[in-house]
Amino acid sequence: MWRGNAWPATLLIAGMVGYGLFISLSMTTWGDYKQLSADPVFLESVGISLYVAVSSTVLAVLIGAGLAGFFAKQTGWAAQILAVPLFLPHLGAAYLAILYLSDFPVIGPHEVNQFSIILTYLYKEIPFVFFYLLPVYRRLDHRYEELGLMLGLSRIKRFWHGKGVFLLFPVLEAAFIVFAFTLFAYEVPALLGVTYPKLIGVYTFDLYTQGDLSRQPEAFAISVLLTGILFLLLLLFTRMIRPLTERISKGRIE
Amino acid sequence: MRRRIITGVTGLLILVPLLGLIPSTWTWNPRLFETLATTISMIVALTLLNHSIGYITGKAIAFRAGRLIRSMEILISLPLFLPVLLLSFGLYLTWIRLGLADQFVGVLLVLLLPTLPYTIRIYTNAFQALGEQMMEQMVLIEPSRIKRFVFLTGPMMRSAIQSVTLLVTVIALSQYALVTLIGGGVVQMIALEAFPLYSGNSLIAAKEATIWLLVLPFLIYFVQLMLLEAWVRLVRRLLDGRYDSARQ
Amino acid sequence: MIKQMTAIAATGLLLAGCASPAAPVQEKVLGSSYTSIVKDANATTVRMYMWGGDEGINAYIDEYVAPKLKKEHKITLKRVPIETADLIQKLRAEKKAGKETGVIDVVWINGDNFRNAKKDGLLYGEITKVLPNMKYVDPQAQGSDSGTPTDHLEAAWGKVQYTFHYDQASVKNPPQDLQELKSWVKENPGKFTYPEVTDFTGNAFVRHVMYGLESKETLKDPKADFKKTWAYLNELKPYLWKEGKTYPKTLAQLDQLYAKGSVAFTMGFNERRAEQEVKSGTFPKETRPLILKDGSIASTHFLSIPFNAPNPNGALVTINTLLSPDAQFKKFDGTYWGDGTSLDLTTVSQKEQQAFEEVPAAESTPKPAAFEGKVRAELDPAIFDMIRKDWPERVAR
Repeated sequence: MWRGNAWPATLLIAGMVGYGLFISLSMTTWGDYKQLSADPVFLESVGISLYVAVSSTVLAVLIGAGLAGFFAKQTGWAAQILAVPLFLPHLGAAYLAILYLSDFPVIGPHEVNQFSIILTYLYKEIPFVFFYLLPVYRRLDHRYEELGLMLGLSRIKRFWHGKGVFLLFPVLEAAFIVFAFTLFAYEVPALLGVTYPKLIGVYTFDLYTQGDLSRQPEAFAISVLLTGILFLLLLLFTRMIRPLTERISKGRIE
Repeated sequence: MRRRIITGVTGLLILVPLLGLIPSTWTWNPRLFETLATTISMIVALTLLNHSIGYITGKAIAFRAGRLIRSMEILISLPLFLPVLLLSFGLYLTWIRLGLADQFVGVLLVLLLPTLPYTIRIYTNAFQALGEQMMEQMVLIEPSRIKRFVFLTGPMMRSAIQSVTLLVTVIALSQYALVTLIGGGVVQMIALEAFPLYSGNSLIAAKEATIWLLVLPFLIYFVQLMLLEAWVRLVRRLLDGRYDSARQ
Repeated sequence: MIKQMTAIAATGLLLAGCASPAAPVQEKVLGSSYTSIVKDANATTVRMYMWGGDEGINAYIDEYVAPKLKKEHKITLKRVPIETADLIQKLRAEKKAGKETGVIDVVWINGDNFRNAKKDGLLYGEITKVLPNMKYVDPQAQGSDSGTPTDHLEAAWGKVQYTFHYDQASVKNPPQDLQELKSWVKENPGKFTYPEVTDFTGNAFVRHVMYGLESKETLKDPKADFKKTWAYLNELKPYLWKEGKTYPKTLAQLDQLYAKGSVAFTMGFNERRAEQEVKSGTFPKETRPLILKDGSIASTHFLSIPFNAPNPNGALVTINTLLSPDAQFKKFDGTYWGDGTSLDLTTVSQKEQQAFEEVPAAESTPKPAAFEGKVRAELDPAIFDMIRKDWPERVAR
């Protein structure tokens, strides 16, 4: 029994997620979903949310991973500096954006290019990715890369066999977490976003709280739809990547 | 040399913005202050819950095997990838029926959703780093679970404990929509006052709110750091070769 | 393992049980006399939910009303900055789930929020019949809320006229009507904007445009196609702040822009709203009022009690206090809010009447003569909703 017990956590989390999903589902009808797929406001909101999420994720992961790799051996001051944004809640980071970027034309808040939102996310997520990947980089065995050198592999092949295979799963994990977070967030886009199109988290929350009950089923339908899609993505992810990493760590099965 | 440059640039980009938070005048916003009591108790309760549940769950995932545990791991990670705020629309109705809406406990439970997955992940990694063999050794040396935690496993997980508390604090402080929805304006956390200030007239009031948002995690982090150090020192003093078979 | 599961399940049930407070029996308080209501309300807590985006209004409640209630009735007033639209959603959910005892005692409400609340039975009941201070309230203001009969469900709290404010230093020749406004905006790009229509004030701006451009028949029919309005707004769009690509989310944000000087106009439902801001230096010193020839909507706002208020006695006493001539006067003068009174001044004492009339009007407040012939009634609340639905598609995109 000293091996711990995963049941309380599972019941609590799966229970709340499942129940929330179930109730949301029960408040919608098939017609709501059909209506959504044709609703231009909804689709544009999804479009811009994807744009923000993908850009934030790609940039955060590239820079964060790059920094982690760079500082893996000897961190020095870098780790302390990069830890600071971790202490600031996202809400505070939004304030910094308002404070500094307000007077700039392109990167200021309330711009259609959403740069202020992306920059705010970068401020918070780069340290997150950095600290998430740092232990992974530290555990890398450099002998694989040396082996590659000795065997005369090309740079790309060297990188892949020496580091890439070990980094793949953690990097994708970190990317997925950042992606899901930036896609659905509310507080930051609510403060820094534009009137139209709204990011999907803000749009759905506004639909839910607006005076007339008539639009609530839309809000519920959006929640169910997005949850469903991401759940599928998650399953695909684990189904496809897990065997890949097992194959990598165990070696090719001849 | 390149390292210095990169460190320097990072330092500039990250730290310089924070200079803007330094207050020129200090006004005590009474409404912000009122929310502090609820905020801090919520954070303490949430952290304790996270630690207790995270510890046993992380251990289970690290040391057990099998399909059941793997599926549980996925289920637990769900909130990381799903829109928690949107799902809470459905939860809200259930909470009303259960009498949990507008209650401290109701908000506490809901805040578990964005925090537990991270916590469990951190503890899982910590236990994996510890290693099953080391864990077994500890069980052999000290069968009493409480004593084992206090003397052995606990101190070895110091950095995990630090990270968990920090993450829980920062995530909880940022939740405006979730707390307003489920807490109904009754559970007043600092975000409830801070968020409207950001879109209002007074930039000074907004700055004050942000200072609190930054100070609270730092404060909690350092208080915990000192507690942990004291713990380790105490343990060392108490143990003082107790388990040393060579001691007379 | 089973032991742990049982423990967890038990804790869950315990929490669920503990969580709901012992619901007090919701007696129909409205049958009792006011004196017994006051007695029951003594030393209780009242929660008031209202929009918190204006520091002047917040100060009025926090610094004047709350201490007054404390002194006179030992009531602790808690102000919660949650908007009416958000709490209607909350009340609806609570009604659906059968929550007999809620957390909201007093709500600030009017317009389409009132109509929705009335339709869904979210309000407590005929509260005005029990309040002694109703004798001062102007029956004209009280009778109907934007066309919906109030039926004693809410009490008129204040009366305001929509007013534009501009900075005389940068606007030498202010436009007098919508067409002149359009020309001014075209000549001064980026210096004008209005809040988006989910905000009450922004929605009202669109209603003013409707009054100026649409015929009387169109205005009566919420389902009509308000082509001229959308056309006007679209003509304005490229010359607005940020080229109309985004609009301030709230009135507070528009005020922020006006205070900074990014735009030259602001607007709102209170002809005296600028007084405090000019005094404190937030708004430009030369702020002046502007009433467009096309009209200014007169709006009454109300107070009410939700169906599941936990402290209806306290709520009634609070509302009664807010209707008293003293509180109305403090609300009217420039210290905090400057909100027009809902009282019929012929019913109050001579001294009090004089006090109201003697409140000096600042430069930024329009003289009553400015409103002659321009006062417009509120439009059908269904139009508010229609604006919220159509404006994003027809203008904002």
